[in-house]
Amino acid sequence: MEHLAAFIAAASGARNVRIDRYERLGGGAIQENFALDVCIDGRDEAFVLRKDAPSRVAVSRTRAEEFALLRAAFAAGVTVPEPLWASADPEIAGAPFFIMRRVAGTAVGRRIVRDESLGGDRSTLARRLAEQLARIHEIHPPRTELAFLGEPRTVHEFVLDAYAFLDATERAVPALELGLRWLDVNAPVPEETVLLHHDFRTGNYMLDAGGITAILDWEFAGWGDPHEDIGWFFARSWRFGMNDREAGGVGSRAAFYTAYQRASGRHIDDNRVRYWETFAHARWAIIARRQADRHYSGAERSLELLLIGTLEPEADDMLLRGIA
Amino acid sequence: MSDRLDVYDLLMLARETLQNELAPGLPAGARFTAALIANALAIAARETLDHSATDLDIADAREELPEFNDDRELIAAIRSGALDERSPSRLAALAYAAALVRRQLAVTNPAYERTHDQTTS
Repeated sequence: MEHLAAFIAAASGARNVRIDRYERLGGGAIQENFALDVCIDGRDEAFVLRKDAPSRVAVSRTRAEEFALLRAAFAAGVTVPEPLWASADPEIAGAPFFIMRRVAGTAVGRRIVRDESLGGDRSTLARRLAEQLARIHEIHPPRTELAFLGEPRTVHEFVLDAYAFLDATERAVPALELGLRWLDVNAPVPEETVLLHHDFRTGNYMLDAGGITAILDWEFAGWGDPHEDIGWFFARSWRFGMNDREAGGVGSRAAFYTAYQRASGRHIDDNRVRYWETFAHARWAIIARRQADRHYSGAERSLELLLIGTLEPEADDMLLRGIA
Repeated sequence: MSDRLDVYDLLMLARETLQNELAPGLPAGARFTAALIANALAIAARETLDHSATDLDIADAREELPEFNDDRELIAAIRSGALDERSPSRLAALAYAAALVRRQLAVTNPAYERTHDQTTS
């Protein structure tokens, strides 16, 4: 704790820093979040410290990269916890970490789609989410501080990666194969490249009674076609049972499109969104399968990972409906 | 009549006992784990049910694809484009894939298909 207090003092230019609470928060198989209450020169502050969990997955971004993404999003006016300081020094908190302001709210999807006391009325919430996504998509390449994002990943690269994974695990999944082939053949030619959140969906934003308090989980961000994020947001997997509200279980497709178009000045091509919705089902199917494979491979014996794998047939079914 | 243990009943009863007698007294983190275990027990229980009709659907659908000796050959054909949109076997391949998925859903989430038709998209 002494190292951490000294770090915060140096980073904030404060004379006296006292740590009042440092306590692990639930959730996060890849990262660990800690509630961090600090008294800085007599002022009480509520932060979150986010650091790598012992079992890191290769696809995950480093904390330094996630910190850079949060800074870019914060500067673009996206509602995210204010990112404060980062360090790669393992002596301070046991692993590379960053500190951000703590914001209140719930991100639990099942509650968000049912509890209207959260985030105001549903059509307002859908509009606000569209505006958030439009702000994220205002960030264009090249950005030197985001150089680690590399090139946009093409659908073809995604499909080849999926083939390699399926072959390595010796699984024959005709639904997934038919879907992957269709996605490869029908991939739209990219028109515009912007920053994609890549996991913008119900379950990954926080709400309180007043509205959106934070867009969470930036670790999959990358460059690509803005329609990809919109399609992911609309995918049925993230409606948490409220299937008639296509926009993330909270609003109508039309309300979301209108608000996004107004906020971004960009025209939404509905066919493109539908393509990326189908893509979303394939991507989610592969993610679920990869999570389960962390268990099956013996890397991490886990009931939770194995059960995530049992969600794949739903994604496979939606994928088949998308290509039929 | 059979003298065999009713495994479905056993597992579902274990699940009910967990949910009704154990879970309410647990702290939040352990309640989440209890929910995972309850889910696992339901999946295991449903696997013991009679799936012969669904299995027969799979076998029937597979018979419509006689040109492929096994699923490995079928998948190689899909990847090569031989089952793309103009292929006469495409519908049979989709039907076979759907039958396999239905068999899995019957075990992992039988409620899924009942709710699907509520979608207005």
